[in-house]
Amino acid sequence: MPHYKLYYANGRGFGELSRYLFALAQQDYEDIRFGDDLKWEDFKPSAPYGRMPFLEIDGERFGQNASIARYLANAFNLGGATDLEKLKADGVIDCIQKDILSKVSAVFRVSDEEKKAILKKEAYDNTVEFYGKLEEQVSGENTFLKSGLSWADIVFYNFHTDLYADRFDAIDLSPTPKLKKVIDNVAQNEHIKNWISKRPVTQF
Amino acid sequence: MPSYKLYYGKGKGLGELSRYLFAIKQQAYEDIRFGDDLKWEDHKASAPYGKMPFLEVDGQRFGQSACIARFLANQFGLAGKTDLEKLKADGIIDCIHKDILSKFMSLYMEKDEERKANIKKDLITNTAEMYKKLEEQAEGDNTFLKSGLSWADVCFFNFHCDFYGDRFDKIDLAQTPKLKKIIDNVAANQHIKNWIAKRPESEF
Repeated sequence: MPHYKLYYANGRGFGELSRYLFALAQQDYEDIRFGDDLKWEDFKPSAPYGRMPFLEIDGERFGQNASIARYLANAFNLGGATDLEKLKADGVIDCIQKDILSKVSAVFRVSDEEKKAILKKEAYDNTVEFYGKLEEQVSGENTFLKSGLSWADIVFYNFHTDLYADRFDAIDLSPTPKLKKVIDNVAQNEHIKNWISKRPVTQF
Repeated sequence: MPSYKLYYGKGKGLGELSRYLFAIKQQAYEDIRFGDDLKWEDHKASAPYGKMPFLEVDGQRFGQSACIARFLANQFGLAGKTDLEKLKADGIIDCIHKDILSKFMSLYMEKDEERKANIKKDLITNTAEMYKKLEEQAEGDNTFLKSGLSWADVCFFNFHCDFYGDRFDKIDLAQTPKLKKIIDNVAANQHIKNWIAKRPESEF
């Protein structure tokens, strides 16, 4: 078994997706969190891409949160059962991270309250539109993939519950019943529940 | 062999990366381009995620440009030889798409000329900065991966030559000699040269 170290901030943010995958696989890893005791400024120059999270595997470091998560998903048999399923799962991740998250993140980069309100509405409308598209992608009973639980479900759960959460107008999931089933299925997972109950409580 | 149909606009844009991969592998595919004869408006509603490009594999459709390219790269042996190489290549694609290319969107969305000029300045600075990070990722002699040519090289070539091109102040590659070798290696590839020579001329 490789030795894993995940380096991120003391929060869920872009690190939590990998943490959920480690939890599902019940795979040991060092959950390293930057803060007062471990300063990010000291690591930034040598971090891959100068960013966090990064994953250290047997001493070798790799960056980019989606790439890290894809690697772990594949290692833990959560990537999809066939190449076409992996392509489908990948598409779900990219929709969330590129089509949806980009407008959500834009809100946090603006301080002017009036501009913020406009961007917030755009983020909400955009998210609702793409939830409709994601609904079309659900092939399983309560999972994106026919073969069962995959990281696509976790990424969606992570977006809806941790990233979008209650920062914006609540999204009514009744127009997207399959997405609701996907979220409920992840939320009921014993390993996910255990992780959520024991992880550090953080603001983001 | 599966039957492939790539659907995109008449230009290079987000479709060209996949076209380069088909070319390198000399894999036959239908290069379908929306325009006056084939209206995008008629296909948008049923397109995966309502966007282009999308790839049809034996009749099944998949969206998201990077995911499509990753799938093809894996089919064509251009994704990396080991799981860790694939992780590394993935990180490079993510850096190019998320850390560099995504910032260009804000330029196209901005209408105010003064703000546009400022955004342009930041873009060039950011791109040069990320090129240094990408330089650190290059492990082969003239390829990102030790094992040889991969889609990471093609993706970088596509960004530097097609997206960035001559639209902005030239980035001096003398600072990043490995990146220069990567570009030259892709540019010298016979299949890439043949494709560039015969592909339709387009504005973007």
